Order: sequence, then C-alpha cells, then structure tokens
Amino acid sequence: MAAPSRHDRPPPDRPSAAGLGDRLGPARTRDRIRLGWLVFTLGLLAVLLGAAAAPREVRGPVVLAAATLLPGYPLVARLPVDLASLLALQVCVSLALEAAGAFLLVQIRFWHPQAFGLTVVGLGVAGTLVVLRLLGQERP
Amino acid sequence: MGPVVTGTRAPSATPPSDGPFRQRRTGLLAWGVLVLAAALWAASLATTDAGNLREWGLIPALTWPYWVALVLVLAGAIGLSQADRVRHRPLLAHLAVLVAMLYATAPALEQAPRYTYTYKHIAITQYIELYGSVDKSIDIYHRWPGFFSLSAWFSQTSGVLDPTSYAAWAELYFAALDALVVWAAVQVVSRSTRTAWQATLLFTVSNWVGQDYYSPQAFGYLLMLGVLLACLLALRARPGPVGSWVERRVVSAFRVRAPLRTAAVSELDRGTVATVVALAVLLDAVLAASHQLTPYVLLLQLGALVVGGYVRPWWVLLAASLATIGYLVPNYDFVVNTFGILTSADPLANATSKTVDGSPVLALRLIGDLALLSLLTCFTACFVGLVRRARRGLVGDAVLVGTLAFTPVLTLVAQNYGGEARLRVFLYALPWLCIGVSWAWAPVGETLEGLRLLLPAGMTVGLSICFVAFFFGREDINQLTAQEVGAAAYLFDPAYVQPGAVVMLTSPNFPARYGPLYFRLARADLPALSYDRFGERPLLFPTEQDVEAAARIIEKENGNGGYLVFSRAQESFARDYQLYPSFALRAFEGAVAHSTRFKLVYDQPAARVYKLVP
Repeated sequence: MAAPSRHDRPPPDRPSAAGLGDRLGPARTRDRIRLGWLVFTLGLLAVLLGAAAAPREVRGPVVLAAATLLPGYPLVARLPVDLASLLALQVCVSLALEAAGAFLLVQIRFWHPQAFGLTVVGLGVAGTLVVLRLLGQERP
Repeated sequence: MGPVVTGTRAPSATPPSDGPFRQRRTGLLAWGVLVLAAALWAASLATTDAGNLREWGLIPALTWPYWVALVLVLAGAIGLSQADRVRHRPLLAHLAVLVAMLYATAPALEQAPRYTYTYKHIAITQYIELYGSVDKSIDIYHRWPGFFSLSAWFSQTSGVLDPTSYAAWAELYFAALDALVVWAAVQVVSRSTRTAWQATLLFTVSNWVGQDYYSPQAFGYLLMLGVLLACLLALRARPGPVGSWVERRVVSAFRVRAPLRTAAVSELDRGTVATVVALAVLLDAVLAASHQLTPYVLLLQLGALVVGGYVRPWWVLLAASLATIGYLVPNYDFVVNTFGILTSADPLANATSKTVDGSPVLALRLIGDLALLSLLTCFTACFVGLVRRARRGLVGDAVLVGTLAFTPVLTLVAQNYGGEARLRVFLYALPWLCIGVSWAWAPVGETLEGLRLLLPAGMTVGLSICFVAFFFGREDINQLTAQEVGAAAYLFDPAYVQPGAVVMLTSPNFPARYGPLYFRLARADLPALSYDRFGERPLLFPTEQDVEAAARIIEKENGNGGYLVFSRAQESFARDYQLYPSFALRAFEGAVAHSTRFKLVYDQPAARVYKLVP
C-alpha cells in the first residue's frame, strides 16, 4: 500500500481543544489535482480564445478567470494548508504576479501586454503540469 | 475541564443526531429557498427601473421580489450557519447569491459604472493602454500604478479594451474575492468553520464603505488580507513577553478563571514557511506600488502582532517596512508638497473631518446615522465577543483578533485621508471585527437554540439594513448615465475641446477626469460653488449677473476656452446636499441658455455642456 500523502494528514487542531476543532485540515490531494486541471483548462482556453479573436463577451470572463487563478497555482498548490487558504493565496499571488509584471513593463517602457500574457499563461500552464505530475505521484 | 456553555450546544466532533431523512429534508429546504431567492432576484432586476432616482436612491425603486429574495437568502444563510452540522456547499451557495444580490444589482440595472471617481481610475488605465508608460509629473496615480498596470494588461489581453465596459463589475469581483480570503483567515484564527461562515456573512453585509469599486484601494485591500492570511497561516507563534503581559492583564481584568493554551501555532515545516513568507513579501511589494494608505495600515497591524510575539520572526516586519518605505522614498517630496504626510495630530478632528459642503437632506442624514450605528455596533459587539472569548479561556485568540481589529484606529492619529479616515479605519478593521461580533453570541463556535437565535439573526438583519441604506440609498448620487459619461467623453476629446481648457462644474459629482488624454485640460473641476455662495452671491433667483459671475471665474483661470456643465448627477448632489435653493440650478441653466456668454455644445436630457463665448 502506498504511503499517505503529506497533504492527507489529519488537521492540526483536535476537537478536544476547548470544543473547537472543525478547522479544515490540509487540502486533499484529489482536490488539489482537480483545481490544477481546472486551472490548466482555463489557461488553454484563454490562449485559444485569444488566438481565435473570440468576441470579448466570451474571451473577457475566461481571461479574467484564468488570470485570477493561473500563475499562482504552481506556487501554492503543494503547500500543506487547507483548501480555502490555498485558493485565497492562489488568487492573491496570481494577481500580484501579474501586477508586478505589468508594473515592470510600464516602468521600463516596454509595454507588450500580449507577450507578457502569453509568458504568464505559458509558465503557469507548464508549472501546473509539473505540479500535477508531482501530486499524481504523491496520491495514495 | 472544557468550558461550560449554557443555553447553547457546544460543537462536537461526533456526527449530529439528526436522522438521514431530517438531514436530507433540511438540505432540500435550503437549496429550495436559495433557488427561489435567485429567481426572485432575477425577476426584480427585470422589473426595476433605475431611472429618475431621487432621495433614498435605489431603495424605493427596487421591486418587492428583491426584498423577499434578500430576506430568504439571509434567513437561509443564518439558519444554515446555526444548524447542527455545518453544510459547506449550501452555505457557499447562499453566500455567493448574497454577494451577487448586494454587489451586482446596481451594475445590472445601470448603464455605466457608478461613482464619478471610478472614471479617474479608468482614465489612468486608458493612459497606460495608450502610452505604455506612466508620467509621474501628471498626478499621484502615475506614481502608484500597480493596479492600473494590471488592469491595462487585462484590458489588452482580454480584448475588452475599454475598462468602462467592465469596471462596473469590479465591486462584485473584489467583494467575492475578499469574502474568500476573509473566510480563510477567520477559519485559521478561530479554528472553526462555523465562525468562518458567520463572520464572512457579517463581513459581506457590513462592508457598506463602498471601497470595492474599480480602484487601487480594492486591489490593495485584497492583497493586504492575503498578506495577513499568509502570516497567520505560517508565522503564528506563542505570545512573546509583550503579548504575555497583555494576556495576563486581560486575565486579571476580565476574571478569566482558566486560561487555555490553545492558540493555533503554525505547524508548517521550514520550507513551507519560507515559501509562504516569500509570497507574503511579494504581495506586500505589489501592495506598496498600488495604494498609498493600505501598506501603512498593514504595517501597523503586522507590527502590533510582531511586538506581541504572535507573528515571528520579527524580520518579516522589516521586509514589509523596507518594501513600503522603500517605495515611498522616491515619491516622498511629491507627497509632502502635494498632500502632506500628516493631516492633523488630533484623532477626533481626523475622524470627523467634513468632505462635502452643504447640508444633507433628512434621508442622507438618516443614512449617515445608520452607517455610524453599524460602525459603532460592530466595534462594541466585537469588544463583547473578545471578552466572552477570553472568559472561555481563549485569551490568546481574543488578544490577537483585538489587535487586528483595533490597530487601524491608530491611523486617525496622523491622517484624515481626505475626510474618509473613519471609513477606512472601519474597512481595515472589518474582517476582524466580524470575528469578534460572531464570538459575541458564540464564543467557541457553538450553535444557538430558541430565543438566543434572535441575537445573530437580529444582528445580521440589522447590519444588512444599514448596508442597504448606505449602499443603495445614495444611488441617485452614485449613479451615472451613459449620457453623462458621453458629456465627459466630449470634454476630454481633443477633437472638440482644446488642450488647456477649463471646465466649471455647477456642483460636484461629475467625472472630472475621463479618457487617456484627461491631463490635457487645465482644470476640469473648477467649482462654481464656494461654500454657500455661487460666484459672488447666493444663488437664489438666478439672473444674468450670476451667469456673468460664472463666466468671470472661468476667465480668471486663463484657460484655452471654458465650459460649463449641467448634469443629472450634479443636480442630484446639489439637491441632496441642499447646495442651492430648490430649482435654483435649473433656473440658472435657463439663464445660461438664454445668455450670449455661453453656447450649448452638448445636449442630452441627462447632461448639457455650454461653451464660454470669448
């Protein structure tokens, strides 16, 4: 039998502690993998819709969802924290990375948003695939 | 022995005693209520006319299905959060629908993004889209362009080139993300998902400040919550000497019999801690480049936690300080010369400073009173909750949350932030206040029964009423029509208006900056009104003399052409703040229209622009 994943250990707070204890434990590997595939799909979809010059009503929400979730996922996906914290950090880190990149482009007067967008998606999707592979190996 | 809870049921690790049939019935009922509420909300959107709003804004305009839907969602969410078993999916769905009902209703009903100040943010984004850079000599926004760069990048990559078309939905976007981060943070601090749901519900219905709109503040607030979440997750430690001293004082002051050492201490391994710290520093650095005030409030909160020993190591504070102050240094002279670092050392003056001339009508005064009531209720109930939590032995939790909730008040020692300081303090404190409020009725996350349920229900409904009053009750002022935005576009279009022109507003509340070329006008917010005087005398029965007074004020600016603007939102503002006697503004426009000094150049029912004839 495979050893349990480090993400599948029980939550740190036991119910015995002053009647508390329904804090979520570290996110299950299965949930991390599902989130990873969602992020991967969104990234690919964003690129495809961009390449096809899809109407902005379709492309806008997809790019927004991808930008909200994507570049942060590979960085936080393996942190042994609960799913809500993981998702919250993922969103903040994704937006912060994109803001940092866009800020840099503006400051150095090298404004190529499409190229930066492709870089973000490319690195994000590649990182997501690596993380998904690692998570797959961890899965009991 | 664990804490004794009377009149309540302490949470238990064992499954609830409900049978499967009752559980299924409860679940079906919750989903049924939610579907009905969503359908009613959709019906209300189809039947509400948001045109011709007056005092109380959207409140009288929203049709009955909206209010029924709101009551159903609130009842469902309160009921689910007090149920024996915490059902995450229906609670999540209720919260999502509630967020949509509160934050998506106005954009769904209106033609253009609300708040005139949204447009100056849109203008900076459009500038970056056009020029691919910033010009620090223009204004302060070009010196803190983190959010605008992000938004310009999104506009270009998504194909939605004009931010005006999506800015209205920023409130929904940021409110939803804030709720996610708040839920996660509350859960980490309280170690109770029930408290997390209750506090997030309270946060959603208390966040009437209206800072989730398309702005660096909204983005900065999200990042700030992210930094605090990261620190609480990875760097939480047992209190140091200062924290222990404070806890001993709390034990003694509130006669805590058996303090418990149950504070959640980070159990993450060193590699994970290093990763989370690096991410927190990244978030803080981006925050420092995006908003002027938020990083300093974060430093206050983080500093207080580090001094208390609740967050370690101390150099995290140093890293955050370096990012924040390091970004300020090259902009210091500009800030000092333009705004000043310290407004006043009098906290009371900073908290009560006035931003608007005139005397608000009764409706606005009542709305302001309700907002103040909400603020005071949250602070008071939070204090009660912290005391109750401490008296159950969880002193460390109470001190930690109290530190986060009350340190933003220190901002008042230095700044009035353009008259908005008290609102900002409330905003920064709110997530932590909501934890304290939920502890007021359930200090260890227990469920309530019978009449005791009235407390959370009454509090949530009461705060929701305050939210609705403040958030929708001023919509006649906050709303902008497409015609008014069209007037702004006209004024900032070089094809119609020469660079260096001056625009006079008959009342505040018009987009004073619009489009990427907004900086080309000499002044776009020249006020016609100075305190209670229009030009040289009160505007009572407007005559040619008043028209001439307005023309002279414009000419004094030596601009390259002058314009006078009348719009629906300005008229609403003037009416609600009683800047002019009733109908004086319309009479004045009549005088302007008949005068030879001005010529009508933009004419729409909701906005007119008159050009000064030289």
